[in-house]
Amino acid sequence: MNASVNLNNLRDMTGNDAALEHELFEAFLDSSDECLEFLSGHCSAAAADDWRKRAHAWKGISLNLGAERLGQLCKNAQDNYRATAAEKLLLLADIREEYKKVKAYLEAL
Amino acid sequence: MAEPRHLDLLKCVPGQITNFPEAARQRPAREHLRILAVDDQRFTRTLLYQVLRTYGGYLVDTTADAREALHLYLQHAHDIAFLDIEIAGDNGHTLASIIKEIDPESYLVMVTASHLPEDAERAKANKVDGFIVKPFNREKIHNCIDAYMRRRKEKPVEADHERLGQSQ
Repeated sequence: MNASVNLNNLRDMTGNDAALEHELFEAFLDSSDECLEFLSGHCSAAAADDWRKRAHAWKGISLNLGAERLGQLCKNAQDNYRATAAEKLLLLADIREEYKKVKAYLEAL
Repeated sequence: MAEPRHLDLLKCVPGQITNFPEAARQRPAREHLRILAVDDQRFTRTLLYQVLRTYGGYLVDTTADAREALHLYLQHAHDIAFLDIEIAGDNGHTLASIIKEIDPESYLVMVTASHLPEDAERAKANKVDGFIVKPFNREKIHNCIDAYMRRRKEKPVEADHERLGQSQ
């Protein structure tokens, strides 16, 4: 366990099945990479609703993984979907930083 | 049966609605519950499948897409459907509304990361049976299944048959 990820709830659901956990981590990282790329390319006001939906999706899987801080940052991004592009880039910088920690943790398992 | 409102989504299931009462008749005879899990994220589908299949021994169908979800529901008349709100093809509220319109006895649970009051209100308006806010855990999922089982015991299946028979 580390400060970025708490796998207790997930492991209660997987029954500590290592192969399944690997599959879930892979799915989480694939989706997260897509979300990060998508959000980075959709900071404009015209794409506000797409931004909100994608941040919402990322929030959901982050919380169910046990990456609570990442989930909260995604919620912040979701709630601020009408922010300016410059503000969204700042939100994304925090998300990117936290995601780096989550990814490193999962990849080291 | 009321006139369907959501024609776009319904276009994908020609003929299945009229055949649905027959599918629903098979429901009480199943040895294991059959459950539908709809979520646009592979991570969540995999997790729900695991909780339902491994710990419950239930038959589980999963999909990311509202159209496929409706197709599966009409084909199998699931005992319970867990529906995310943001899904491909349409959204979970619309899907829930259609399923409830076709099958008022359906047991639907919204599973969402949304804390918005309007989502809870819309779910209530659609008469869904449960609302789980992510992160979910085994207990939340199984509480819904327990609630469904209690309802099933309280409502004799014959009544369901009669109602569906009359709607044909």
